[in-house]
Amino acid sequence: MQTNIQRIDQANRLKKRRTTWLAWLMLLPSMIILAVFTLYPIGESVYMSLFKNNMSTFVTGPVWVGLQNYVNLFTRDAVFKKAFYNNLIIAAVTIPSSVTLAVAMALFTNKVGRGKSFVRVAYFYPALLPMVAVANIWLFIYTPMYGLLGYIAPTWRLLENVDTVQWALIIMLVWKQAGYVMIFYISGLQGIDQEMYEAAKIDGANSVQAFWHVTWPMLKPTTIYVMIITMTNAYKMVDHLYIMTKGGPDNASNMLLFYVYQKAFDQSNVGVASAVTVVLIVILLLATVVQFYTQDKRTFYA
Amino acid sequence: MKKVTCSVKKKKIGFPKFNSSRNQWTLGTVIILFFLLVYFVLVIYPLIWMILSSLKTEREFFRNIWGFPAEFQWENYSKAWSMGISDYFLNSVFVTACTIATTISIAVLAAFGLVLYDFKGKNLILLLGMGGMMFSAQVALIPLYRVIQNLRIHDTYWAMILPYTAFRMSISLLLIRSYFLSIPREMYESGVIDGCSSLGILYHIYLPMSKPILLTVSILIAYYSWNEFLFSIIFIDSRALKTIPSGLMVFRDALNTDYALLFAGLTISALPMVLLFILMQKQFIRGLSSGAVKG
Repeated sequence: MQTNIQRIDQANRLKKRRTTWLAWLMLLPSMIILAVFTLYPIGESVYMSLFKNNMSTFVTGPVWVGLQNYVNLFTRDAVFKKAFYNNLIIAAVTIPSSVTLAVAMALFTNKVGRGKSFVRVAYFYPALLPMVAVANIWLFIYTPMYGLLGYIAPTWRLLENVDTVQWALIIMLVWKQAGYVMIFYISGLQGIDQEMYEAAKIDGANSVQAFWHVTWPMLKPTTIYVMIITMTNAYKMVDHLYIMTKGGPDNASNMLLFYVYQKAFDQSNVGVASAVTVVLIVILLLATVVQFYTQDKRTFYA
Repeated sequence: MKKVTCSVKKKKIGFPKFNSSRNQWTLGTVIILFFLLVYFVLVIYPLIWMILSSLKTEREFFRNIWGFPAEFQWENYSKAWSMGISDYFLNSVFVTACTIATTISIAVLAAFGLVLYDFKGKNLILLLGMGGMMFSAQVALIPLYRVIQNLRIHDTYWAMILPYTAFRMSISLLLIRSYFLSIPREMYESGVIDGCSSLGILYHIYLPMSKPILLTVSILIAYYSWNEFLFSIIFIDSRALKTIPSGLMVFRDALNTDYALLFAGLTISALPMVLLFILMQKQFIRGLSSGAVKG
């Protein structure tokens, strides 16, 4: 008996070793590609941010400066501060407004009987357009005199005004991403059991109550996922800036990622650019951790 | 479910009470519907404007910015197409197709390994996958530029295909994995009994069952690689290799003020994705709700 069990045990262990080996082999390609193109660049950014590496160190090679780049960023660099603050505003405004609009649109398109798919496409198409197309269309909407908005109010120069340029970009970003977010909510709504609404109705809930006590809590996982998407969207705004404002006027629309681009490729200041990159990564990391952490407590289905 | 019904009863919330009869057309919904209709017009208008503008002459574009063109200038499209859009378009098709192929094949293998086998470090890999999702591609720009140069793929199609694959890997992997999890394990066991190898089981049993999620993931990948701008502008120098987003920049700069032609080019470049979504939206949404977002 004893020996038999041992034998089976041994065979199982052998088999397990083989399958483990096989599993790792299957995972290998994805691990390699993730390591080379995401993990390594992030590590390298952290490392490079500790060096002074710009035009002045071209001959000597990068010089170790420790955390000096970060200290400079947060104490002296006025453009960085502005970009940091601008990004914060963009995120704080676009995330809630995109989510609200998207939920409303998802509920609305679900109510539409005929022409549902047309309405969906109409809301969603801005997300499908290439950035260059979107940026050019909005450039025209905002152009004074000739532009569409310029037709209504010829004196408005939204993109050239320090006070308005941020808002012009915010409107464009919400316009572009709300429909994309809506798709996730539509699929989230499909996952809600209709019986829950019937139960709520029996308990005398009206449609507003049903929304707040059934729909919205059930959509929490979608909301968390969507918040990560909209957050990264807000922080990776760069294509539009490149085409529409170049961060101007007077850096009023500069954002962190565009600043990285300016530092690295226009000014060849790799050290500072890397430091800004690391700051960006930390922000996104923190946001994701917070969102994942709060997920468990707020949702009530596994 | 009990929990929900209870909380509805107990809590009294401070919202105005609407007529809760079966008729849902209360004041609140009418206001919301009206707002959504206005938003609908706002959203759709730029598209109509773009298409109308692309059919005008250069003069008309400035003179008559709101109205219909006197005569539809369809030749704007053929002109834009022959002025370079065709190259960018075909490059985009090629890069997108390659990215879909590499991402799907690698992600499917990894998802299969994660779902079927238990081994040490599995959770670590899942975490890594999740982490990869939020690292938006553009963030690690400078080191990535060096990686591309060290691999000697700068200014080749690979300089786009490989990073796109890497940055779509996490989401594809997670979506396919959660779909595989919903396939009963008996399917695997029956395959083993029939003498199938692991790869055989993947190919003959799992893949055919996973068509909806593979379609959804493909659309997500296509959407990303068709529109990606920053990498294609930084990693690619030769005009002959440029994809639609970076090519349109060249196109725009070459045109000077012929905006009607520019908008014809923009419309062409937007067309494939819009068509894809119109044709696939049902499958796409179903795939998302079956695999996505459940964690």
